[in-house]
Amino acid sequence: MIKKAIIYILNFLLVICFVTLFLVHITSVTILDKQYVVKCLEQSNYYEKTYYNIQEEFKNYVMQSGLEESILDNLYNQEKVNSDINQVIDSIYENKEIHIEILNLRKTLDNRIKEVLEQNNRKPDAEEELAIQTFEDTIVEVYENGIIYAKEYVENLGDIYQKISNIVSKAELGLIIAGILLLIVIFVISKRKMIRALGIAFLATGVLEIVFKLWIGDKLHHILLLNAAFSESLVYICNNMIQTIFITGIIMSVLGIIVIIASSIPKIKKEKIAEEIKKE
Amino acid sequence: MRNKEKKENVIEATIKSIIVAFLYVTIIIGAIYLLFSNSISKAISLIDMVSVETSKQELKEVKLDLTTKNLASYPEYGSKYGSLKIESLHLDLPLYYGDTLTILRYGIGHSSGSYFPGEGGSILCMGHNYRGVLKTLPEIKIGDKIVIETSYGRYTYQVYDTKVVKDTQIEEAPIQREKEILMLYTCYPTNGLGHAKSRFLTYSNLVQEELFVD
Repeated sequence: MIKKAIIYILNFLLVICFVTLFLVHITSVTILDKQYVVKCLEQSNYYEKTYYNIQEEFKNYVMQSGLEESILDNLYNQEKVNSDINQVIDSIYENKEIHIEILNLRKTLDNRIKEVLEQNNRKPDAEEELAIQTFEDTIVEVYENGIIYAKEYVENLGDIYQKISNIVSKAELGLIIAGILLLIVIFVISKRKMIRALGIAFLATGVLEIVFKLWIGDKLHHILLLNAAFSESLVYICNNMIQTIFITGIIMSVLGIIVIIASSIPKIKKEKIAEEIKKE
Repeated sequence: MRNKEKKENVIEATIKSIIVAFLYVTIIIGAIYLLFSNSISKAISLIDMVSVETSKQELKEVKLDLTTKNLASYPEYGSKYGSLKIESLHLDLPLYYGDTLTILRYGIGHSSGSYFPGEGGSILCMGHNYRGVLKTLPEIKIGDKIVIETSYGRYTYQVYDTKVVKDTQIEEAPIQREKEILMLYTCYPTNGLGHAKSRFLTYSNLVQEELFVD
């Protein structure tokens, strides 16, 4: 009776170990994996949408500037946007410094405005010079914010990522060791019960993953955070992770049932062999 | 017979194991709920805060409550709720609720911190100094009329003052509820280049109110 109770408790601890290990592992191979995040950003067209977003933001400022919209055309290109976004990603995942090149952008805009002044024979007074300067500063800031959003916070993310990454990898190792130890203890008590415990752990973990997916449901389909491009990519990444959890849940549930059935079959085989030997 | 018994034993053992697994799942879900229900509720509230409705709801008709002199239903932020006309400048512009730069690309913005036409207080509206919007606003004269037409009424205002102020002088556009005054402004100078630091501001009194009654 006590032996049974101990096995049930150890089994329960094994389930918790599996669930936590799965959660930690899914985090490390998704959101904490730079390649995974870059792939999701590409698949959700984040780079193209950011290019478009910045262009649209520029239009908000050109109307009040007295300048034609065309003055902001082609100040940057898709390659530059891609490169700058990748710099931000590197800053987070590899703790590198962000250096968004804006001097060229400002210089190009300044030259274009000077051309407009020359064409119209205008010599700006001090107030207009300041207004032009403020406009250029604003456009450059709009570009930077379109890429980085909030530089001071993004730069801190690099340190935070390193710390979380360390904790996650240590937690993974610790949970694997804990799981193995629990299985060894169960094995020592009863060999067949170990296989059954493994099956129950797989099944319970799988069912929890499926329940999580059903509970989350459509909650993350339409959110608006910062801008549409960021939001859609965030939703894409989250839904991708949830889908992975769901599929893994189904696989683990099926695997769990198979292992549970398998843990009962050897008993038949041994007795069958013994019977056949007796008949002979 | 013995084989059949063995098979039944296997099925029984499998079902018992599955029940145990589901029991563990129930215990874990129960424990998560007991220990983390507050955090989960906060997380769900956060998600709800940033969630947007995608179903296109019909725009609510804006109505004025004649008893309280407040709008019975307010327009959705960012939606067009009326038009602003200045006959002397040949302007007939859409009027939107809200004053973000995106809204101002499409017409006149109405500051959400001010009152609505008919509510008897300050109404603060603005538009870009762009051709086709308020580029010609500095040409307005004292005595000119500005008409705001909404789904609930037509309001005529008469200009009594204009001034050029700095963009930081917000005290020049006070919000009050004693008298209905329309304040309309644009960046100044209107033919300047770059980011203008001044504003051309007009002040108008309500001179005529025509309600659209159902």
